[in-house]
Amino acid sequence: MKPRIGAFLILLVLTGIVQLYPFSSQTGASETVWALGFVLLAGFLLGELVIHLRLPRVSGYLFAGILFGPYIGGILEQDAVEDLVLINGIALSLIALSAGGELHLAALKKGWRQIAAIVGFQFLGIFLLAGSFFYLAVVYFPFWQGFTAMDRLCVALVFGVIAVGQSPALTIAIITETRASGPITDLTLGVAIIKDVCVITLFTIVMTAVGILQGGMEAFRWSQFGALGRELFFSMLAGAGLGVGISQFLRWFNQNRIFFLLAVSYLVSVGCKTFHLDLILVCVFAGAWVTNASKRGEELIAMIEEGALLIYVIFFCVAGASLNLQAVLDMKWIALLLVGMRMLFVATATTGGVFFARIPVPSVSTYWMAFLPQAGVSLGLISIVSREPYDWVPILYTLVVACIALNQIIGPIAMKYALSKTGETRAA
Amino acid sequence: MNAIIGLIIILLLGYLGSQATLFQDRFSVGIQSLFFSGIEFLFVGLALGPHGANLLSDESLRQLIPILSLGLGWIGLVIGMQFDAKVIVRVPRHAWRISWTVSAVVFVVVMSGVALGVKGLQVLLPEEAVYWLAEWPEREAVSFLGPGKQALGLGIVLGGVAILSSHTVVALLKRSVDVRGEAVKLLQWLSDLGAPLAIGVLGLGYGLFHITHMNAPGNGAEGLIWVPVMPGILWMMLTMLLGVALGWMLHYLTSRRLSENQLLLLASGTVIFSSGLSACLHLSPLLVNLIMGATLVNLPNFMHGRIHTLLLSTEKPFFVVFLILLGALWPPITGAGLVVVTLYLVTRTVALFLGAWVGVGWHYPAADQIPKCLGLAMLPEGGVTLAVAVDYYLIHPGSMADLILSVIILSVVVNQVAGPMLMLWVLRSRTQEKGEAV
Repeated sequence: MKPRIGAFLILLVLTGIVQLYPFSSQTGASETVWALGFVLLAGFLLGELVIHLRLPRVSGYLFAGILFGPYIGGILEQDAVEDLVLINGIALSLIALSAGGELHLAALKKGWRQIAAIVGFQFLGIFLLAGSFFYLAVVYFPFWQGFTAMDRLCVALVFGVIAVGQSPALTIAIITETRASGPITDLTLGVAIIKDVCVITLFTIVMTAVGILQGGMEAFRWSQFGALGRELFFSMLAGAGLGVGISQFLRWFNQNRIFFLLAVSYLVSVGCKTFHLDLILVCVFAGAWVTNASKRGEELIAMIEEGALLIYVIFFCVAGASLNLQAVLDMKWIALLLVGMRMLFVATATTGGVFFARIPVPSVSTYWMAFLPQAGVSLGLISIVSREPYDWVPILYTLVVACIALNQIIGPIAMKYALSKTGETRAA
Repeated sequence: MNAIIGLIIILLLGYLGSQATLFQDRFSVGIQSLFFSGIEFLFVGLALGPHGANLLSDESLRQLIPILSLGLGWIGLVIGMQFDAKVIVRVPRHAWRISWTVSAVVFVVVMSGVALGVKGLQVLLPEEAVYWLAEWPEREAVSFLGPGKQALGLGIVLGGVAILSSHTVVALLKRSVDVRGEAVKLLQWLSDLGAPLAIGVLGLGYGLFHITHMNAPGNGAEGLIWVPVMPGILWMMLTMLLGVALGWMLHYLTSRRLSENQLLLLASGTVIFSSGLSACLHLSPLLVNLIMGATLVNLPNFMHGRIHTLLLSTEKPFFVVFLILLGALWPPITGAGLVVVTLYLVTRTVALFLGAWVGVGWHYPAADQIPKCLGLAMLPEGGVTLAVAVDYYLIHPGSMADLILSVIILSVVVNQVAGPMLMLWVLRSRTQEKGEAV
């Protein structure tokens, strides 16, 4: 029997077992254990199946989540997905630690002009182009009735900033999976991480502007910038502290380190939520500290890679299961149009940056695809917007969630293709 | 939040504990052996748990219980993977026969001793004293010591658990004290062969007398009702079928070249899946995974060695986490518990002595080479004994499970102190020892 047929049959049998005795009919925490086991096996098997279609494994994990999640298969119901989301904190911490561990300051110093060019062009280009397009196009959308020009401007600003966002987690996952390494890969990773920090900053500025536009100058608070500054400062401080701790740990212990790291990751994810710190920034900073201050980055990455596959499968399956497919269905044509336009803007801005900084990218025409993936950070931003009291928020929320869902599906495939064209990948 | 903090504490302690010098691979006797075997983490758990500092509260423990079923699955797979037919056929016939004899004698003596002893309490003591001893609500005390089958059930479970003796202590003795001879070899076989027998008998028993957890409130006995979804024999068959099917699945998925990452994912995914499924179906995760491991190891697969190494490499931290959680769950011993643990310890000691004496006398070709009181060298109980008790605790939660868990933990602690000493004494009595005892 061919491995792919065997994998497919096993997947069917596992699905059959779970269908016979669905998770939701259970009580108690055993259900979560079972769901976790199913997610791991189903995600892995689907990941193995999609590589025959030349898709990245990450897409397989996402498809597994979508397929068995609450909107299609219904095997993993909403409560089971919510239980598994707790594990996401660990996964995201480890992914960000790994990304930070890959950041070599010496290399960044050498390539900072290139990173700055691409980040700058993408920020200006995507933010302005996407925002302007949305501002002009939104009046033609069927649901846009009874809103003022000021509302249009606010919606366009928010859409613009979210369009700039990129998923560092997906970027790292694809780089790990394709075992890509080289100057263009470093550049791509550097851009993704720097952009993450910049997007959070820009988002705070935009939300302040929205507050002023909607409520006048009395809505303006300098404290919002203070809070942002504090969040960034303390995130970096916590990251440095974590980095010191991890370096010392690596120095003194050398067995079964992944257990320690899992506990620390959980602690960090809970701590960041409690103290309103940026989890990605904390962990990226910690990873970068370990690599650059203690020179133990390779050990850290090797340690994380011991369990990397486990982490990715859980993280992306849960991400797939959490995708709001109802939003995609409700907004399919408009969402497709916006996703298409974002691709155009990303391509324009990235190519502009590449030419401006004279970056020797082997495949300029496809390199922009490496910046398409969107996931958690963008969803986090739109969920912050959803807490605002303005009338246009529910519509924008559904629309943006639909766009992110599509980008989450298209992004990894496009990025794998883009990286393979750079000639820096080593695995299918 | 409490569960999260609890998990962090357990994982950190688990890691640090597995690294600490306290967890040493050497044979020791007396109180010292309690602090060099990993059993000390039971006390760490007790100190952190609801009966100690309450860092691991009842609520957080309830949420962390799935880790126990995962631990059981892991232990089951490790034990199962030792049952390679190529190795099994090398075990001499007399070892099998002695093992079966010892197991049968121990099971019958402990079961009847405990059941009759507990029943005797009702006859000999006034009713008020029984309530006071049990410290349970009246209804449960009456059903436990009354005309029901509870006393027999208690006897059967404890009889099954009593069969197990520690493999690790024998291995450490052999390594650290440089002991050689037929008696040590026999001891090793007996401890190896006893584990699957006890797990098998109890696990299949749980299938035969299957209990289905319905959506009743609470986590205690009141949440459990008997539901005849299908006959017990079918549950037994399902237990075996699940083990074989999942073992075959893991074999199939790992029968090609895989990276460490992929192997870890498949092994963990399958153990997690089978443990979760078994726990949901109220079947024994320990037995299902044991059968899975035995199936896997007996199918032609060049990845066996790597899977086994992978499992062993995570054994220590897993064991520490398991012990800490177990220590936190350790229910306070009641008067009835003290009576039962005394009955259990006495009947087990007698039964092991008797069983080994009869077994060796009947089946060993040169019985004079083996000490008459070999059974006393089998007293130490280890992680597998605790695992079997937890298996029962997870499948049949309630007052009886609390009592069994409490009795078994106490017995493991007592036997960890007295057992190695007796083992050394028994083997010295036949001048089997070659080196210096620690």
